[in-house]
Amino acid sequence: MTRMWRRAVCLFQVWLVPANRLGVACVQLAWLLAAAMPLQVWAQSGPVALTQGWISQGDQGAATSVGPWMATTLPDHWGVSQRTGTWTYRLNLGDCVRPLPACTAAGRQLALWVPKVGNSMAVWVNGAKVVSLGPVNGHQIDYAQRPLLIQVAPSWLRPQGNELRLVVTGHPGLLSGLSRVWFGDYADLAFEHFTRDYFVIGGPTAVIVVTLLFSAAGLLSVVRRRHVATWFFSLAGLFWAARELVALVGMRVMSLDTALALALAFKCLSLLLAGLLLLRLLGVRSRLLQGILLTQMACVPLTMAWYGIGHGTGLLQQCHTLVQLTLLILLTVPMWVCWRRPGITHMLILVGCLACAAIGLSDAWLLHLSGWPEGFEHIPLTSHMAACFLLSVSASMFVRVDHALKLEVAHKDALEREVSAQREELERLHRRESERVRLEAVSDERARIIRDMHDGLGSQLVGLLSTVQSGAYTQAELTQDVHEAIDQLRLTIDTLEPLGGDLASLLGQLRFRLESRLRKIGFQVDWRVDPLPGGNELDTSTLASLQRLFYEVFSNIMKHAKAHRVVVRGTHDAHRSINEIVITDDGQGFDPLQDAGGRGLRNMRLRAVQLGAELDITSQPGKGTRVSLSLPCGPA
Amino acid sequence: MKHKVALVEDDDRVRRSFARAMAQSDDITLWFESDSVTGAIEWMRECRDENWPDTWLVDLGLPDGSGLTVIEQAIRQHPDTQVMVVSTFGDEAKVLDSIAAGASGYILKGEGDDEILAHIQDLRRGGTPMSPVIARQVLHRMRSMHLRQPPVREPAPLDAGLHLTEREVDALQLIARGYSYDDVAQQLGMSTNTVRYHVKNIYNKLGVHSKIDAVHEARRRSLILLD
Repeated sequence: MTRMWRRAVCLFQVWLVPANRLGVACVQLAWLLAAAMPLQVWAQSGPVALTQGWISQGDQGAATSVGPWMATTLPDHWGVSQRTGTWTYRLNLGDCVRPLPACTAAGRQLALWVPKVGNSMAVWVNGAKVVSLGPVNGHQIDYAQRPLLIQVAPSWLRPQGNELRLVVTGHPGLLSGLSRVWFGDYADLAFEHFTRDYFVIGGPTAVIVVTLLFSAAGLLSVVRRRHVATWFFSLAGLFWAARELVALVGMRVMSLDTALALALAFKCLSLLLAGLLLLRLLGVRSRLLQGILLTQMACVPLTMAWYGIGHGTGLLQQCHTLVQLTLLILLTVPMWVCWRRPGITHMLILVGCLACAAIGLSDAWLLHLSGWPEGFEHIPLTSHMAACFLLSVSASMFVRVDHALKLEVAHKDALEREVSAQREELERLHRRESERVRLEAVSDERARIIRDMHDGLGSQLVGLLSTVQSGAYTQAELTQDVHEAIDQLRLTIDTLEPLGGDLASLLGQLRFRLESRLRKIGFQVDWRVDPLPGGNELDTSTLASLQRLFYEVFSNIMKHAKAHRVVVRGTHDAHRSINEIVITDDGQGFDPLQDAGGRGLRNMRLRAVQLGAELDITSQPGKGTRVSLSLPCGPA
Repeated sequence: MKHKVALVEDDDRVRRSFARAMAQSDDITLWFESDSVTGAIEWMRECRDENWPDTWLVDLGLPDGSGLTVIEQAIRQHPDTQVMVVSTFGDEAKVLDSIAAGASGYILKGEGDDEILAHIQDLRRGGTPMSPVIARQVLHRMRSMHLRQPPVREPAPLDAGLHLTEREVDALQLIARGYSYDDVAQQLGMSTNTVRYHVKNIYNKLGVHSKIDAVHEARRRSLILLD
């Protein structure tokens, strides 16, 4: 059952972790709990842990070399036992080999498994060197991270008194030592081995992938919106990924000290940027805190340079410790903010920070501070701090964006309501204004009609009445005057008809009205009126003025000209943008110089000026009259 | 057989003037006259088919209602009846409404007796005046591309499918610019009678809607009677 559980944990670790930061943290916690259980409980029927042995300084691998041996217990944490350099462990396999014939008879293989050792190690069985992990005295290489599984060949073993020697070389800047050594069935140990190996490699790999993805997304966003917090976010992620990468494969391409220094520097930079980001996200604009973080950030390259000129990593280690302490103190900021301004986004960030702190403190406690030798076998979880932080920041961001979106929707709704209210108000005003304009137009029109009635028909009827009363009227004159009065009335009604501002229709309608009178007088009318476009701008009062003007011309011809033939020409000159109407008769004519003010000529000229038209009247006694009106027109 | 004319007009003098004018004519007789809508409608109800006048002359402003009622009733009873509006001033809007109701044209009163007679003679020949304003409005209703003026009045709720021939449109355009029927005939190379014929056709087309309705109504009634 326990094995199934651990297998499931292993599969989850390998396949799903890269896609799930939360998964990493959960699995790590599960692993932490599982690892805390005594290994013997679930391994009692299988492999045996070797915990008792002897230790001697120097390389004592060969059976011939016999140094002074001291008894020791495994795991041996050199950070606790204060060992450096090279030491040889001697372990007795004698009792364990007793079931060997049964094992080999069943076709099963035996194996030795060392979960953690280092930096480097050589394995001797019964005086023969069977495996070496890096060179003896290999200070500049670290194999301590990955577990080691050694398949035991039957030829290595004797029936009795088997002896195992492990020559271990350590490094002062790293966690060195030797974990418990397991001996037993290969299949059982292989499972333990690969589970741990996946865990040691898979966790940091997942963290690298996730942080790089997040940083890339952040950088893309920075390109579009130059947002300082996003800068911090992206750079912190990048530095953390670099730190993981260096810790994982750095010592394969550079010296162990350099890799160590780089990993520390990257970690410091990443942590300090995370601190700055934290302040931004919480809205804390403290110059003091920012100053402290920025100063420390400036110190990082300086200490790196210090290392570069050959002074070792000591200063960097101290800088690292200082940064960690600073951030631990900085943890009070989100607490304080959450206390003062509680909210889901702040709480999420606080939870993330607390998780990071818990991970960092537990690592520090187990690996360095506790003094427990068992701490040596603990797998550091520091890598996953980044995942925790990213998760909390992302969750906080998500909540903020969600909130902003909701606000935007609400804002949009409010805006739409406002716009629709404004539109209604505008429409109301427009209606009122339209009504006002309409009433004004009606009033103007009414005034014009009254004026026309008064000046035209009214005065004519009054004149007619007085003449009739005086009794000096012939039947023909009376008929003529009444006809004229009816014409006046019809013309006035015509101005109320919808002519649509069409000049040709206006002329046409005038002729239509006068047709019977013209016919009676016996005029020959030569009518040539082309379409006269561009009259759209002519309003009713302009049309009325034009109608009066033309009526005056026809009236003069009928009354005074004694003509036989009237020629009416209406032409449109697109080039000059005018409409020209020319009315010519072959009557007796008159002398314009002598008769300048009579016959309504002054009135006609006045109307023409008001219309902005050009009126030209040419006449000579005995040679007829020519009246020409040029009216500018808009675009056709 | 004389052409029978019915006259619905409330002004005595006008009625007398029409009677005088028609008395001078050999082939026109004033068959019936009334001074009110009610009188005319009642007479129509009693009237036998063989006594039905060939032409109705109807004034629009009658003391007990609108002449439109008379026009509609006449068209309903005899869809092929010729109805003319008698108008003092050729008030275009009213004329168009009455044409939509089924009238075939209008004649102007207030000229002289001789003018009225000329009108009636015209009528006999199938002619009826058309003013430039009416021509223009008909063109506008066609939504013809020839005219670019904006709408001047809401079109009456009819003749959505008014379709005029090219010659009719040509004639209308000239009439709208003030050309007389003779001028139009000369311009378009046709006889004046042809122009009159076109104008009459245009009026008929404008009123065809109400006439079709009238035919349907008549059929429906006869069907009901048959039941």
